[in-house]
Amino acid sequence: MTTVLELRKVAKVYGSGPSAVHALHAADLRVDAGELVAVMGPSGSGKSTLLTIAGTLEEPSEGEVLIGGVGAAGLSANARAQLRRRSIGFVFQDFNLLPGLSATENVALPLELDGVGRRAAHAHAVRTLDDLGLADRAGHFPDDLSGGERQRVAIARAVVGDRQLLLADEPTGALDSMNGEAVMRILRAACKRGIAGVVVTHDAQLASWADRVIFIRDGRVVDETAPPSGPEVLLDKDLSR
Amino acid sequence: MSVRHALLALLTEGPEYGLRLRQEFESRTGDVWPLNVGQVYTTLQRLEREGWVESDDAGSDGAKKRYRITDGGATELDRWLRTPPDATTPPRDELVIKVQVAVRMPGVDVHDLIQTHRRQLIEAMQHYTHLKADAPADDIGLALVVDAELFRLEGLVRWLDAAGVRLAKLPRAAAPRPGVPAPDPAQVRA
Amino acid sequence: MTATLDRPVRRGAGGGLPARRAMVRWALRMFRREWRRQLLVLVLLGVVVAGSAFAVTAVYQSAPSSDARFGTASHLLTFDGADPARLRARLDAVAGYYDTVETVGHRYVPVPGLFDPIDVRAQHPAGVYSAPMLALQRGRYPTASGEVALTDEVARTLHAAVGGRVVLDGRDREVVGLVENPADLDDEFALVDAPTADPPQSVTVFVPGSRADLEAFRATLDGVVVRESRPSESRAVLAVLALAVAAIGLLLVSLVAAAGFIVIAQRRQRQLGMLAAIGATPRQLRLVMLANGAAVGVAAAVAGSTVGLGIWLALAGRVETAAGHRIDRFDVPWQFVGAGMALAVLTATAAAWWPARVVAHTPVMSALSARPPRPRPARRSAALAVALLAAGVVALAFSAGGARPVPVIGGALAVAAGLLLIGPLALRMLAAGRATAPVPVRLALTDLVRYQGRSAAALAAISLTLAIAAALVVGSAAAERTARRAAALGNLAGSQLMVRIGEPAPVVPDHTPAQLAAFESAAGEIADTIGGAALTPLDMAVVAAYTEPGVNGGHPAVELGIADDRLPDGVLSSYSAYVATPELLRIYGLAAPPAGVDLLTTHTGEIELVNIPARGVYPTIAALPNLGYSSTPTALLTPAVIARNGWRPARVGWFVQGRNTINPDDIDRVRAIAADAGLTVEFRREQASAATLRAGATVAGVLLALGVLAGTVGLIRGESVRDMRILAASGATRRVRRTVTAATSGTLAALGALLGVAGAHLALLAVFRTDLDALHDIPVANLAILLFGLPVVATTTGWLSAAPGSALPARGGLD
Repeated sequence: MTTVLELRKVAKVYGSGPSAVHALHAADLRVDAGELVAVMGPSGSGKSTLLTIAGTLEEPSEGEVLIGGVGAAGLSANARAQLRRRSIGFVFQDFNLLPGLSATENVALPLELDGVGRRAAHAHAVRTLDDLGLADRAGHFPDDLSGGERQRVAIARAVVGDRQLLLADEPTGALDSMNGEAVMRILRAACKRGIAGVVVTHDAQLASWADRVIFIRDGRVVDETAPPSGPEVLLDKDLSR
Repeated sequence: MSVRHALLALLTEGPEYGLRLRQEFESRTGDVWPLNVGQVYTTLQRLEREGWVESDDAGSDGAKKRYRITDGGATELDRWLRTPPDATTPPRDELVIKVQVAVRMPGVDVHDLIQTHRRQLIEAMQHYTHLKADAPADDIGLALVVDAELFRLEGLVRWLDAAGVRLAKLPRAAAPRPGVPAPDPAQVRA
Repeated sequence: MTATLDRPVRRGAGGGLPARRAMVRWALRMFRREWRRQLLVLVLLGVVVAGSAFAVTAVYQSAPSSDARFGTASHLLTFDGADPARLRARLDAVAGYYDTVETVGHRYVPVPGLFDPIDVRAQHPAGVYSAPMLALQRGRYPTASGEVALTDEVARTLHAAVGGRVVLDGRDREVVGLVENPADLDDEFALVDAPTADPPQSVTVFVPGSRADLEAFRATLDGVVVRESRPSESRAVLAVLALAVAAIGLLLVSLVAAAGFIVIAQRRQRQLGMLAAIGATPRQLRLVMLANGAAVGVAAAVAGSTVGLGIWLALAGRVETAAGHRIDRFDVPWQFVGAGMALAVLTATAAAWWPARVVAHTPVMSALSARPPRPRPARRSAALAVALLAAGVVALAFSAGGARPVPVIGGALAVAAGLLLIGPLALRMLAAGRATAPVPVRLALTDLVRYQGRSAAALAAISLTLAIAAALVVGSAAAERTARRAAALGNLAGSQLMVRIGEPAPVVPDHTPAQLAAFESAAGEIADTIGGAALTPLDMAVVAAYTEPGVNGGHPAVELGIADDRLPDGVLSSYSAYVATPELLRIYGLAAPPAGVDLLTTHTGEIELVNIPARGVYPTIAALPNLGYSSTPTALLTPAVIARNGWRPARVGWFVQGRNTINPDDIDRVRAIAADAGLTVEFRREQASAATLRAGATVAGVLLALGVLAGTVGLIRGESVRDMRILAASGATRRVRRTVTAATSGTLAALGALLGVAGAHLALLAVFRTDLDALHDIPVANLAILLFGLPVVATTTGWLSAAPGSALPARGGLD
């Protein structure tokens, strides 16, 4: 598997002097194509900062960010914008879709921003929505979609084109558990098709959808789950009681 | 989970052979609650003794017998469905005891211990979630059981989170001992 | 996904046309969804555009057009008809030179009781060039020598009607129609059939072509050729001026618009942050806001022009009456209306520029979390503001009392710009003192600083509006004082009249003794009418040796020329001079002119006698007591100087001193007598006081400022609905919430009024620096209304408008 995202000794300090806040201390992270990684930690642990730095929305104070093997440091605002619309998709907790644009138009937006003609971009967006089981919602506006549907359209927008990296910050935070599950199913499916995914959450259920869970506390990566294991191991522990 | 009542419930769908009953039971609960081979037949014998089921012939092998629910059995099943689960006396939770013990023991980093348990719990949850994710969407039975486990495990993770926050408020030296009243938080802070 | 995409080969940082189209599409969708939230800006812009569309059209249409005299020709040649042979030769020469010419013959026919003769025109009704100058109102055009058509005024004077007969020019003719000059309804004449007309006294020839062409032709003729070329079109200039006024209004509105756009930008901050996260470049983000601004501009321009032109169509009839010429209401000057619309779109887009810049430069994470941007340090803009104010004041100080246009315009613009920029500093200084204020007031002040972008823009709009109003109020008072000091008591006392023969002009026509006797008896009749008034004849000294060319002839009257430093070098202000007759001197309490004196005058300065063939005639001067009225003679030429120069006194009128103030009925009677005799009468004119202007400026300023204020306070409070809810939830009474709103609007109003009035005063002090007395009579009441009334009204309105309902949750601001 190729490594899509790599953070090397990334640190982030907000402010300066005595009021400086260290959000991240030398955090390392590698995510391969086709892998869904959850970053889990309590609020204020620096997990959202990790995500925004990985997504080039913020610059790290120290360390390196490589996306598809290319360093993101020192890129101009325009080059970062280009990197985002070509390689990185975001899904946030809420307010993901632009009102006034239909689901198809929302999904087509990153392509159009990249210079793909309207017709081609829309055709591609419809196909992506279809792949994620949202074909019947293509013409709807965000106001007419349920919360779960909105997040699923947001995922479609995050993976449309040939995106390599999908970054999600509490994508099910505003949803009930069944809608959350539907969103996570789509997210997982997207990763199974070859995208590297990172989900940031404090929710154990949400994290358990990942192939690998990274634990972060006070800006440091403290632990990591073992690779997926079979059910027999669990049975020995008698958790079923 | 009461295996007896689960078997009674299966029989409400119609008479069934003992072997099929076992397969049905396992497929509905997935491999979350695997049963011993003999457990189904022992339970069926007991049900028959109490007059809640009856069998076709008196053959010795439970697997080949065909069982049918009686009126008494239907009444018992209905009574059981409506009886609230025992929620008043909490089960003695092993995890709680382990953390309690670790707090008292010198030389044990309780936060490390909590994280270890958290990781293991999450790993368990990952297993169940993947089970649910890979299962066909119409396998409601599996989903119900897996959800139950997931919510239970999530509860434990959340308890660990809360415990971690509570213990972080106390200086490690002043960890409470059983029988010793917890120090006043104000004094601790001072 | 894995499907391949045909991306454009050019892989620049931007997405090119598809990206721009997508951004504009989204901006337009959002405008369509949320235009109601921009209603304030839309209405303000729309009102200005409507006003400009109406004003530009009305000004364009009501400006006198040279079509009234030139028809469609480029030049007029006037030939004298005294020598028919010479006239014929000249007309042949014209016809030989130009392909198409048109001639109109004139005979000037004296009519008893009318001072001016009637112009009897021999004009073809369908003239090649003169067609736009003639229209039939009733009846038909004359087609035979015994027929005539009259304009309405001539018909009234001659008591003639269609079908009746009139005697004109010694001929008895039948009136066959009523005609008019549609391009000048005050052009009065009688129209006769051209082919059968009598030989003309003069002929007007309409010719086309360039001026050079005309001069080339003129060179082929001997003698004097009176020729006139069509003046440059003044109505275009006037329309441009109206447009310029509209542009100032648009500038003011653009400040409010900028504040509104900042609010929109903040409302959409998360969406814009999301766009940036998706991969929109700063330039593409900017385009969203600019497209919104342009959409607002287009909507306001279209709606405003429609309303403005609708008003024009409804009111065109009244404009026609006022303008004195026929107006085709559907002949709209589209180029100017279009320019006004373009200006509105441009203004709105420009107003969106700053918010767009802010949006493009907001860090993505700040935008996504909807944190308000940190207020920029106010120091730099404050320094610039002070520099601009200083520069403006200096420029105004060197404008020679407001007479030089460049420093006045430059200085006024600099002061206005300085006022705009000083807003943030003023807000911060005010907020610095908030620590001791009660909580609601402190909260309001904090919000003003926190949302500095929009509150500073609103403050700028309010202070600029009030500065213009205050400048009008104080400036008009100062100008009036200056004018009144010059004119002291007005033109005449209420008991006085000036009776003039003809119009006051520097050329005095010759009159026969019979005519003079008729004038004199009419003047006597006027004096009798108002009850035994004293009649003093007024003479001017005329240069008998020189006859002014022209229809009526006449001799130039000697005048005073005084150098004026407000006029360019070599140009003198001229004043009428009268002959110092003993009767006239008596009015001034003088017996006889002092010996050796040429001129008695109230004027000072370097006085030269002008309007005479000689140059550089500087009279010896003695002071004349100032009667205090502007229309009584201010300069008397002594008989000595008149005799010495060979001038001749000519009667120009009478000064009538009644016993009491003349009552309106007598005024009407006097007017009737004067009209019959061909005299003009001047009565006391009520001082054209600028009080109405001041009241208007005060009201308009306060209203506009209140409108701006209401919009701003609405914006700020609308944005802090959440704060209000928290306040309400934490037990704040309605009173507290009212106080917050009242304090917000009151503070903005007070600060705006203070800055505006102070700025206006500063500018006026600079303008009148050599003549500060002019600023003594400040209209205190008007200024007080601006300074105190507006804040009071604003505070009260704020208090009342913070109704209980306004604390209820509105739809979340950021969805």
